[in-house]
Amino acid sequence: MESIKLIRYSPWLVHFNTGACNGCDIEVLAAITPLYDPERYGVRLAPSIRHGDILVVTGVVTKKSAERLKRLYEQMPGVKYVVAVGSCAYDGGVFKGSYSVVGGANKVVPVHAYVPGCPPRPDEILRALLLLLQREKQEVLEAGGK
Amino acid sequence: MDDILKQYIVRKEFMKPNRDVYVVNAKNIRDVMKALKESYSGGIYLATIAAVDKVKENVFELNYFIHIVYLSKTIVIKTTVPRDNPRIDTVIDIFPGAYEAEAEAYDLMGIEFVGNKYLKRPFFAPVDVVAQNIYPLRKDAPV
Amino acid sequence: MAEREATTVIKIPITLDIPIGPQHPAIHEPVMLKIYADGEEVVHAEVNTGYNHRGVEKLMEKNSFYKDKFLSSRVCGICNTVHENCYTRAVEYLAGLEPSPRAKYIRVLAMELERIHSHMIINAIMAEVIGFDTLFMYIMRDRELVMKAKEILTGNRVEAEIHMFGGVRRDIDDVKKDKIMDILKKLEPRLKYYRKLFEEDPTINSRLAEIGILKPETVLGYSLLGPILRGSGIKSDVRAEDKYDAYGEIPWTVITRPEGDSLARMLVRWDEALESLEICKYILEHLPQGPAVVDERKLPRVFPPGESYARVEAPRGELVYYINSVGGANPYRVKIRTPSAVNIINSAFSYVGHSIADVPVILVSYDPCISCMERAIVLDLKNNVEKRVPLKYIAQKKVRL
Repeated sequence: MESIKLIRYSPWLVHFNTGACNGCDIEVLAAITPLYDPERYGVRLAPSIRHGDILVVTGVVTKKSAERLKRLYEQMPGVKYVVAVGSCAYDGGVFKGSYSVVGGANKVVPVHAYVPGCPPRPDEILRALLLLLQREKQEVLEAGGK
Repeated sequence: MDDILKQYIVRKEFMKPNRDVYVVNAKNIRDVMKALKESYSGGIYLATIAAVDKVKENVFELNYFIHIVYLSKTIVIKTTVPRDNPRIDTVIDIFPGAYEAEAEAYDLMGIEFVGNKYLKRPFFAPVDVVAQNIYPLRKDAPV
Repeated sequence: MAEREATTVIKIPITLDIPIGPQHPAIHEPVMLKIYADGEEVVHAEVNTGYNHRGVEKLMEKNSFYKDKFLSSRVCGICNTVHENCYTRAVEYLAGLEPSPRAKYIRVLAMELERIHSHMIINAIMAEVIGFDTLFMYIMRDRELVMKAKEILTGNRVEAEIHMFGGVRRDIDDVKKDKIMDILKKLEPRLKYYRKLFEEDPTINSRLAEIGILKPETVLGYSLLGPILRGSGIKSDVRAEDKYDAYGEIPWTVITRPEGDSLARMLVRWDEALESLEICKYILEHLPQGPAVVDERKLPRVFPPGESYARVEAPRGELVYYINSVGGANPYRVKIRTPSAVNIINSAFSYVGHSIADVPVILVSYDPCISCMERAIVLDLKNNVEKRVPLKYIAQKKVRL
């Protein structure tokens, strides 16, 4: 993860919906609006996959979209990271058990950060990005709280 | 309503909360739809077609939900087709809005609508399910 | 007359929340809207295969009625409250349960707040597609007020999950009522400003007026629903016809416009948002006393046999649930027909004759799910070249074809 320093100050996001109900998608869309203001961190949506640094995956991964996700990940140049947003992208969410569901995004591409929630709040999504970019330190709570 | 469809009604039932159900014979479905469309032209649309797999009675049951804007009510036209030969006439030229509903019933339940040239597989179902000739929503489908 | 040869094919992938079959959940490219164009004009449009639904209908047969309630609200995240309401009412008709008056008013409040936020987001996307990025950011900023109101009422920004068979799961006290009322008072001038902007701004007018005109007979014939129906002059709204929950007691009006073009559909949405605001204010002032929360321990474990059919007015149109039960804890068959299914799949005829730059404008005026606002694939048949372009570049004519 040393190479995270290369994109630390201006990461461009690519958002890909692999089967979500759109709940996580509208929270990802809300995360780029003025109330949360991600542009102060240099975060913005990239116009095409070839310009992207971070792939934001929402929704449960199906067999058909699994190949497309893999192709998209391979088309990203250079330093690249993946963030899985929502509990469906983590391990299938409520759609677990459908035989044609592959599961979470980590079955197809390497995932570097998970954001749990159904759907997670936009500030949590932004915070996950900042933790990934090591611009914020993660506090580890001791057992018993503090 | 009763007098428009008088000659076709086999039985009249009731669906909660307050919908009238008219059971008709499958071979009269086009005449029933034409009669309804002519009586209420300019204020009627086909809401959806719901197919139910009744394994015990060995039939597929089709429910056509028609909404009449003038009367502000939805009525149900119910009919059955045998499970080993599920064919029924299409109503897509009377109600073009049946395109999506018939495509869905064909792709997932396997009911063939005679005369609808837009039916195809796979429309909704994935490629590997279609390759094994499985109709996913049937009760005996191995999914 | 010989058929015109197409020189380019544009494939627009859209996501729809059609939840049937046991197969793959809806993916990024479930419906492909394939546009065949000769130069600048569309000659043929079709909805292509490659559509994958989520296995919701089959999954619902395997789970109990209670678990299905949570599954039904995840069919669509933007209109999750109306999905839950339709499913809950269909089961209540089966079992013969009746919610209390206060619970009915709280349900309507949650659904109307959702209608406001859904209409704001589609108008923001329309503004972005025609190039008005600043307006997109302004509308999204003001939409955060509605999300805050939803969070105060239900505890969650997006997934409300406030319904339960026989009532609601949470009640509202005076402190929350005052906070929501303050938010609504702040929101009202903003909605009026946006509505006036959409009606008078020359940029928006030149891109939206007289584009995608649909006549009333066509709309009914193809079963197009919601603001598309009301934007062509037909006065049909499920809230006025079925009078479910508390809509029979609250004074409100059905909004229609006669023109039938894209601008009329967007203005119908703004007017409906303002009407929803009035309904919310009325509810907060006239909330009846009494219990609202259901005691879940007293609910039945098995449900009686029968069939029921419930309809609800989602922000995009008429949403229906058909439930068939043979007794027991699981349903026998659940059929869900979302309005986007018919609005998008049945409307492929309406793009023919327009120029390519108008296709995204017409598509957005039908209100598809927003994850489609990504990239379209443009295939140049003469030179056999394929390129991916954002949808808004097509709308703003930044693509050379």
